[in-house]
Amino acid sequence: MPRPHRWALSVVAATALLVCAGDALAQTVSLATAQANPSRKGGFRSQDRYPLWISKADCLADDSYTFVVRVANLGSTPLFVFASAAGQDCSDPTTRSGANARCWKLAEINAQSGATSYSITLPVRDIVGGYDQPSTFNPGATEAVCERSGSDAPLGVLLHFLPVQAAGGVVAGTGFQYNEIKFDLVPPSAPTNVSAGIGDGVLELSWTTSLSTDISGYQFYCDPAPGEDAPSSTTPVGAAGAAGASSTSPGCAGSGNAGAAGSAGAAGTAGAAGTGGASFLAAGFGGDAGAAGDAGAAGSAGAGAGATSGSGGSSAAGASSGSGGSSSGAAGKSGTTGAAGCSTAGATCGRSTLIVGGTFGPSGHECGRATGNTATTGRTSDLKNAVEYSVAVAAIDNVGNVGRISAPKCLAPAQIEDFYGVYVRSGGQAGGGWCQTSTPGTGSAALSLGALAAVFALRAARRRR
Amino acid sequence: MNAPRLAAAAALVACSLSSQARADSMTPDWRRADRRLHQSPQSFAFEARIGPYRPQIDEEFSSGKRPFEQAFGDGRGLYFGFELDWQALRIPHFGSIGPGISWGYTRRSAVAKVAEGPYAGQDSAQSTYLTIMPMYATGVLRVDVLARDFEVPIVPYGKLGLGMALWRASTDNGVSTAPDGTVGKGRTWGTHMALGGMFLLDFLDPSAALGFDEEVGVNNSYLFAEWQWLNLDGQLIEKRPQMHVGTTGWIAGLALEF
Repeated sequence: MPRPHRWALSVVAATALLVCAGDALAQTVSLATAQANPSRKGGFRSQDRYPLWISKADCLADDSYTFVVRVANLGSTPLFVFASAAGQDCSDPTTRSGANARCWKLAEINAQSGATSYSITLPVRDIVGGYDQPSTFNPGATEAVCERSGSDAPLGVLLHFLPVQAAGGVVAGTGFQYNEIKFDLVPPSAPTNVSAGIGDGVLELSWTTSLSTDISGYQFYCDPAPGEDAPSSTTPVGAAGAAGASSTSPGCAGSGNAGAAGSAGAAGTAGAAGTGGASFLAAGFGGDAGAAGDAGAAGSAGAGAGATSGSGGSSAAGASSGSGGSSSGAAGKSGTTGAAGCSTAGATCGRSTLIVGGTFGPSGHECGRATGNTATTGRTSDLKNAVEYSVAVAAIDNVGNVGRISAPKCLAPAQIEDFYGVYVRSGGQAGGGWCQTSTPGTGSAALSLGALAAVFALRAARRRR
Repeated sequence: MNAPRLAAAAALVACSLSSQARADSMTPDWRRADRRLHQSPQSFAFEARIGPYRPQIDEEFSSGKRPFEQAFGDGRGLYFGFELDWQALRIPHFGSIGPGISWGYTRRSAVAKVAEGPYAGQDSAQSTYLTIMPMYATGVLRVDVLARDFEVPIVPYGKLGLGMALWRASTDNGVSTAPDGTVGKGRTWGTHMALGGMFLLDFLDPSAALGFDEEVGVNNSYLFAEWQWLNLDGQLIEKRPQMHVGTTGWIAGLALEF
């Protein structure tokens, strides 16, 4: 071979070697050193609330993490982000596809020429969405993934940042794993044996702790909301039938009496559904169902008027409205009213048992909190005396998930007979503070003279010694 | 025998041996006359005081009303306090005299009754409290001639001075207030008198007493009991209504002279 050709071949070979070597150079992916942890769209909780973990509220709010990832020698190799349960390895292509996949894809970033870092946003819904079925998961999970049941123990998720070749799915180079994220979407169980005692402007609560193991405290809920008076009496709807008895205990969850059943009137109109008594607790404090009206003699049926559940209620069992009678007949009898709530101190409210274990979450009704996983007593705040409240307790876990509420108790704070009140009513006039001053009496002069005499006596004694 | 008992027994034996050895070498006498050459200077006395305490609040009312008893019952609460005396003047073959100050603390609590509504008269879930801090500045005369010059380990004493107490009525919600907004806290002035007797503990173990003096400078240790009149009725100073939070009764405690 002529020398020039040899030389040319050498150049080609060297070039090929360099190119190959370039491909063979380690492709590394790392977190930017200036940002060891990601940022969060929803911000971080306090350090004692596991700021990097995912709570149900985070999930419902469609929170996301943003990682700044530094890359080197990535070339045209795309960067993938996978998630897996803690302890899994996603470098093997078989772990990322197929029916037995253990890793689910969160993001794919096509390499940009010359780029040395990428900002990658990962929705928390995607992070938790593939946990149970990674093989079928696709990014873009909805809030449905935020509903979870079963164990309330936090679950660890491992994020894998990997350069993966398009052909064969082989990991080309070195990625990294991020293991600081856990999610806890299952609220703690409700405390039990809640009892309430009367205080001055407060209700003193006690309960048996939640069975959940990651409790950080307990949240109290009151209706009416703290600082508010009881809502006015409510009159259930009973369009064609006899009017339902209105609630006599407004403001108590579940205490609204049912509207009476609509009667099968002469014209055979249906008894409308009696509504549940007005109920603050959006979740599940449904009013009692009105009893069915008796059928009119000639009518097809007096409607059994069922109460609707409390707005948003998920567990109040209200019967559906019956259909109207079709022909004339004697009026049906009114349905019976539902059980009254809030009538006995510390007793459960009307149908409150219906919502035990129900979810709860309206803001504005919080009326106190107890901290610590062993707390069994607490005090509400800002309540008004002589206003009857329905009060319930929910556990809060370490990431701030508010659990299911307890069975509520109904009670009204009241003025208490404290010693000073009794003293004042008895005619006592003392008080006003430790530093209260008054016109000096004759005794002051005597005291001053006495003090002076004592000083002189002491000085004389010292001189003598 | 378990470990704590064994340790206690060992400590007792060690203490006995130590006392015996000290007795052999120093042959002390508990009487002050024989110890005076060995003891450290003495200028102060300290008392740790404890006793029952029932304030005389109900005596404030001539109408027969008894608000204190109504709220807290007829029992007595526990008082504890401290007193520091300066034995400024020593009268030879008689005793010491000087000023002293004291601070004490007592608190009563009871479940408050519901005052209104369908449960009026029943126990509420809250408590009512009365906290009193009795204090006094007093002159103290201790007649220790019996103990110093004779073999009688008794020191009678008397106190006379000015008393004052800070009091605070509260509930679980905080300090109480009257319907007109008056805060349930106040200050009451009065007089303080006491008569008592102290039993010189040095009499029981002279060697230990000497050691106590050598090691920490405590000259004498006493158990004492006194009858005190803490007449805090607000009549002495300030012309304004003052809660009668004083008391009369027995106080006992431990006194140290140093």
